[in-house]
Amino acid sequence: MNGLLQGCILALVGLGFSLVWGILNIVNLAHAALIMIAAYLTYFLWSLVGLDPFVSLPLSMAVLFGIGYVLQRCVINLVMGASILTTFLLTFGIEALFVNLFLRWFSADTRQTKPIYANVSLNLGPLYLPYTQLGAVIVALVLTYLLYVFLDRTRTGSSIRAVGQDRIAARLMGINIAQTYALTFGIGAALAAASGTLLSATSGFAPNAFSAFNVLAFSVVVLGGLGSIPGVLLGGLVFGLVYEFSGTYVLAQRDVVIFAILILVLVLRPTGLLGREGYR
Amino acid sequence: MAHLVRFSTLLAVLAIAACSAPSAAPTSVAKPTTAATAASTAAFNGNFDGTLVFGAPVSLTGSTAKEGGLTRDGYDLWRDTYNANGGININGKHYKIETKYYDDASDAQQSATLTDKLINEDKVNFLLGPYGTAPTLQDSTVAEKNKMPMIEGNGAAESIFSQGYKYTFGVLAPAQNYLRGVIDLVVTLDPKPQSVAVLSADDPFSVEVADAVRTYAEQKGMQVVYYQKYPNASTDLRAPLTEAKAKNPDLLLNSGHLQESLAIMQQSKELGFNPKGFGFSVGPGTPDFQTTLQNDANYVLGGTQWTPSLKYNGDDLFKTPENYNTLFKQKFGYEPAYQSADGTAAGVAFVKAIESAGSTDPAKVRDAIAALNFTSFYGVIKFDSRGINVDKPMAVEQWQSGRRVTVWPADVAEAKALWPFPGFGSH
Amino acid sequence: MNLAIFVAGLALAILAARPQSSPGLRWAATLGLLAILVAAPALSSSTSILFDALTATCIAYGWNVIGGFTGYASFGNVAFLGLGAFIAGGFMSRQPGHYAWPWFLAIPLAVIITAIVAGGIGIVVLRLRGHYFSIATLGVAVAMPQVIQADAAFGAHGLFANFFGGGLPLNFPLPEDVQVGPLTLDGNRVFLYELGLLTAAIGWLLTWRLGKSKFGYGLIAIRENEEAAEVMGVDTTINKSLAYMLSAALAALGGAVIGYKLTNMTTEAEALFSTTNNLQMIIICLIGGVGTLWGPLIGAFVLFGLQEALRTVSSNAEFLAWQGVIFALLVVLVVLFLPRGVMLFVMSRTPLTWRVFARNLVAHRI
Repeated sequence: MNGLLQGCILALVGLGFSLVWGILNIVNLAHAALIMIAAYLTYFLWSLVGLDPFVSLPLSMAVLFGIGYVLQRCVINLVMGASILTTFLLTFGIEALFVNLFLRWFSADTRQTKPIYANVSLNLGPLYLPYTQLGAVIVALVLTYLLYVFLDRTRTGSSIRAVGQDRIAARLMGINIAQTYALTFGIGAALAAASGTLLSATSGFAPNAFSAFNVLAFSVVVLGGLGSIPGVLLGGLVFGLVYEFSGTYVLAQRDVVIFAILILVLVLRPTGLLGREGYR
Repeated sequence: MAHLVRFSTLLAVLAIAACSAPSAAPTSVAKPTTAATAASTAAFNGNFDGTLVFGAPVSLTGSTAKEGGLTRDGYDLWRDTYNANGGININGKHYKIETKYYDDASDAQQSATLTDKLINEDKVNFLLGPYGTAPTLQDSTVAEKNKMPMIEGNGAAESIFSQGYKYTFGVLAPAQNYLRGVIDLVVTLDPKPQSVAVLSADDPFSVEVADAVRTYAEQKGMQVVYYQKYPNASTDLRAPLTEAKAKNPDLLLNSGHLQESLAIMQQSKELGFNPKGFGFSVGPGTPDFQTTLQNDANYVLGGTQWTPSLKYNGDDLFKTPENYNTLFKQKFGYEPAYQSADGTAAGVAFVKAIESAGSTDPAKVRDAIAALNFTSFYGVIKFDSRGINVDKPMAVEQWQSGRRVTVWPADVAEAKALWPFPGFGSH
Repeated sequence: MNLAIFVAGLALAILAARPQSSPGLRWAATLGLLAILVAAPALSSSTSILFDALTATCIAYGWNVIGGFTGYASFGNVAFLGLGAFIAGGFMSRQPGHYAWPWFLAIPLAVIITAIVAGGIGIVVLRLRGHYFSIATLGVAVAMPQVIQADAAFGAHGLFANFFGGGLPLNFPLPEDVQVGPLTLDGNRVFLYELGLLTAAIGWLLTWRLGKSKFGYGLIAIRENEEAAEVMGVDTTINKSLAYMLSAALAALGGAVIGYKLTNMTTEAEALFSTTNNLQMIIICLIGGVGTLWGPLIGAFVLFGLQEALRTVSSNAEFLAWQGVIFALLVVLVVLFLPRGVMLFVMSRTPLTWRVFARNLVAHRI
């Protein structure tokens, strides 16, 4: 059961990652850094002003949206036409830069937002459901739904999907590519912010605590299928379960199991479980 | 050749730009301390006959940045306190202590290269150790190859001392002893725990600690009902905790790192896992443990190399743990963690050895170190034939009402250990 | 002194790489570079940093084959670096249960075994392209240390019991001093260093032959357009596999020698399998120039030279703490301003002006 809860959080992490990847064709290694920034923001809002993380969530999302927009528009945009190795390395460099900067400014001390309900669980018979995780699940589901509606029903959402499908055709239709890319990246960053806010409450963190999420997000998206929002959710849940059950037999080789699943999916069914062209 | 000139200019510009980063507080000699018990010699009036340089690669960035910083602070306190009191006294001449640090970025390979640089390029006189088993292991090899004595306080694994090296010495208690104190303590408590579950990170140091405590627990009549290794630096331990919970152990022991100790406490709370006690080899010894867990940190036991409330009367400038605590807090503004005390103790051992050898010759000093046997603010310092301080006991601390309290050994305990753990949320 | 060697080496390498240099000049520069590097122990009191730079060069040459020539950016070659080191250690170690073979037997064997393993892994991962290939190789890098620690195969009761140390550190024997006539060459400072130089030289030689061979052209064809290459008769599957195996072999060679120098090996993340090692080979190729002969060497000298320069300039503890930030910033700046590396200035007649950097910056902007 806990695996499913954990899986929802993984799905949320994968969501922003998937959006940027599907539309901009960038594997954004800076995603982990964005999560980290949001976690610190939430922590400071909580410790200095007393804001509950679920309350400051919209604020972190807005701030990270801004950061993501500017980052894409001014920096990453410069290499959009270059090879994927180049963008990969750029996002890696940005991630390392942010993590090291935060390491300098805030030191490697562990922090955690601790509202009263942190780590407390709802006890239903043999089941222990932590409140923070339950809240996270609700947030994840709500955001997933909102993203789906946004992409499907709104005009901006459609233009984003159009750019993802065929950049040149979209430009011919009058869509401003640079702005759309920046917007998409901003939304991806906002989703990363949501994950960061929630993660800051579920466990202690330090600047380098989120780097592992890059490979996890990638695996979740690959499993679920690029281009599909429900797919990301499914991928997240599956990996959550893998985490839970790998503890029983192969704990010391847990990463090998994840890698094996990733490889199997890539080789046997590269489009993932629910993947398809043209994001929706 | 024109572009070579311009290229060098570029290099120079980068270097200068990097230099204009804000500089640290001056590393000058500290003012003589006035508070608390003073050192035995009078405050020094400042004319040194020479300098001795002690080199150390410490991790100021990377995964062990925090602990590396603590180690360096320990070295700095040692250097400044001793310099204020005449430095190292060799046959009546006073030598000023200087330290030279390089950041090894928590990377063992870098640490080895930097040690080599310190020895062969910077020509330091002696070496102080880095933080962590992996870097210490690599650096000890470099020290051995170059026949340069190294005293370290932050690498406790058996593997470092089973290589037959003659030039590396560890002032800290070996890894095998890390959780022994906890076992010694709990068998005296009521209700006596019968079963124990062990969780260990999958790195050589942690595995050593875990294997040793498993054997020791069985020797003391407890049953080890669960023993599991997890990948290094995992933060999701819900699966092994669920399994451990199913076996209903009285005591949960973990040998790993700070991040994991936090994860275990938080996730145990989530899962409703309430053994009679929690014991960690690393974690409770740092203030982060309590600031992150707050009330949930209470009742947790931790093995530690040193606490300020131990009662030693040392033959060194710090004398007692309490005095060390005061001096440290005066200089740095925070209370010392045991990693800093480890570092200072390494320096103290060097001074004793050099003064007893009456020389700065590496071979003579090495022999003097091997022959050391004295009590310091840190405890007894005496190295066995392999170079590790086997006789030094590990203490046990417990968090009680937001304070870290020494609860073992019994003769220096500040308070009785709280036992059993009443469960999360009820304290 | 090390810094001077780096700068001199850079100058000579650039001279040797320039197309406008006459063949005579090129030979002279190459041999001059070799001479300086061979003589380094006599010139410098500590050869460790040069050793690091040279083994990193060898490993970067390996990456250059798969990432540079073939265009498949592997983010997991560190797995082969570590595997090569551990296999060599397993054969050379004098600990109980090991074979204590000499280095000239154990190291080549380790290289061959690692290449075969890479071939096996390649069957699976080389079917992927682009991002997928990169992340799959990243997964290999993450999984490899755990495979080495697998109890079932390498644990105390496994098939190859304790071959990799069984959870405890695996030890190489300490290198002995070598007697050459009246001279005693220090085992650590001279012998190991020359071994490191040898690995870099092997990497360079292989790349040199590669650039002139049909195999090499085949790889470049694959990089430019894989389908077209297939149509033109290049067997892409075989060529890609060989390229991957070659890159793994060079990584293993560098790794084995690094392991020999380090003496003690554990699978901890901070040691051989670190992310730093993983990305270092890529950064080096990027700085120097991906897919070129001299690129990896130039990149390594620039990177290590810069680090050494910064260390020389200030060992102020506060400043040291900014190293991580500077390294990351360097990555970002190189990717933005100099994506084709230093070789851009060497190979073409591009002048070293600010305008060139500015143009690089916006060259691929949307």
